[in-house]
Amino acid sequence: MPRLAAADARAIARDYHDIALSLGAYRFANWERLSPSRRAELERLQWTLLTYSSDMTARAIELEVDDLDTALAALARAVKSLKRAVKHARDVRAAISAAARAVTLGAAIATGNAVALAAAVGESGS
Amino acid sequence: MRDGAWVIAAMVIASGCVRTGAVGRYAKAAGETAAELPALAEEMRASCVRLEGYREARKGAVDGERGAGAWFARSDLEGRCTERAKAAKRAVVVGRALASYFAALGALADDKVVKYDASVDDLADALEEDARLDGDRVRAVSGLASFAASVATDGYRHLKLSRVIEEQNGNVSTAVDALVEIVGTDYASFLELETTGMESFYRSVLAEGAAREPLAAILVLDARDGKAAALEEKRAVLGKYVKALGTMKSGHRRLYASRRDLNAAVLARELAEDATQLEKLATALREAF
Repeated sequence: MPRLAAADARAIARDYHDIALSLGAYRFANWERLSPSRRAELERLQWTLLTYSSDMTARAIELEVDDLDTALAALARAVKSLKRAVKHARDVRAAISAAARAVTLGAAIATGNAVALAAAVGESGS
Repeated sequence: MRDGAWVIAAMVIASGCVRTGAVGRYAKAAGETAAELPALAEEMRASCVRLEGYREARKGAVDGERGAGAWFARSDLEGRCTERAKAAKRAVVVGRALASYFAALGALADDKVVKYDASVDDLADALEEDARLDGDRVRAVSGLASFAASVATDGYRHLKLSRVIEEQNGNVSTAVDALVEIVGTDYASFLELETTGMESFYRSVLAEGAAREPLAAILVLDARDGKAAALEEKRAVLGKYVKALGTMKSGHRRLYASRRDLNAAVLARELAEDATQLEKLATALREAF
């Protein structure tokens, strides 16, 4: 049996709802002419059709999401990849930060004296 | 020459920070909007329970089991909404996938170079103030070092971002389109069903008893107006969510179109507009739920 498409499920749900609306309109338009038991029967049918419409719309949602399996799996893989990239960028940044400190201290060595250098090293290490 | 290079480096770093920040801000706002879906999905289920409530209240008149308006527990109605609850849970999965994606995208786009620069500056301050070294020379070296760091990490992040954006643009589009259908069509249908059930309930009650109890009929009409207004508000929220999804999609499309140059000024400006719109809508959605 061919698989129902989300759009088909929506169309069926819409039809159920339209029939339910028509039944309601008929019941109220002919309220006085209909017997209480006939009115009750029409109302019962109306509520049943509303339930069918609700369930068919719910089915449309499930079918819609079923069709997304590939896209959602790809997005989940992308999230993992992005998280790894964030970690990698932090690692790189930490490594470069350490190197930058070394370069800056190099400038101190080139221009400063030993006492001042020791003070700078102490500051950067804290 | 060295001082000039430092000034240029500082300008590049500053401009890079602002623009990449726009990508991060957009991604954060898009993620927060997607994260509002569970509340909307819960509304889908709640609408079913309300519809079943109207049906149950009419049961006496329809089936002759008990009088209209007789007491019943809400928990009795929950069991009739299992299909709706199941569907709502599936919709939440899509929202979560998008929220996670945008959060991860935002985390990578978010510029932490500023924080790094500050740590290098601390060291430069220490060298200048405590050691009384030549300030210009120390600043020039530390500025170039931080520039090298930002180029290395920005380059990597931009490369990774552009690759992921390129690969995922189609998937983001597909997922957002599905949510537009689920929210804009299916949730709208659920609200229409509730409206039909609500109108049928109140109209039936009035048709049966208005002539006999005219004062009670006025109260019933007031109650009906209140329910109708509440449903109208839910439709307005639905409209806002669909609009937010459209902005989310168009923003990602912008990222895709400019993926080779995520620092482009035009992209930053347009994304900032998208982010502002999403932030406003996300706030409105949070308040509505």
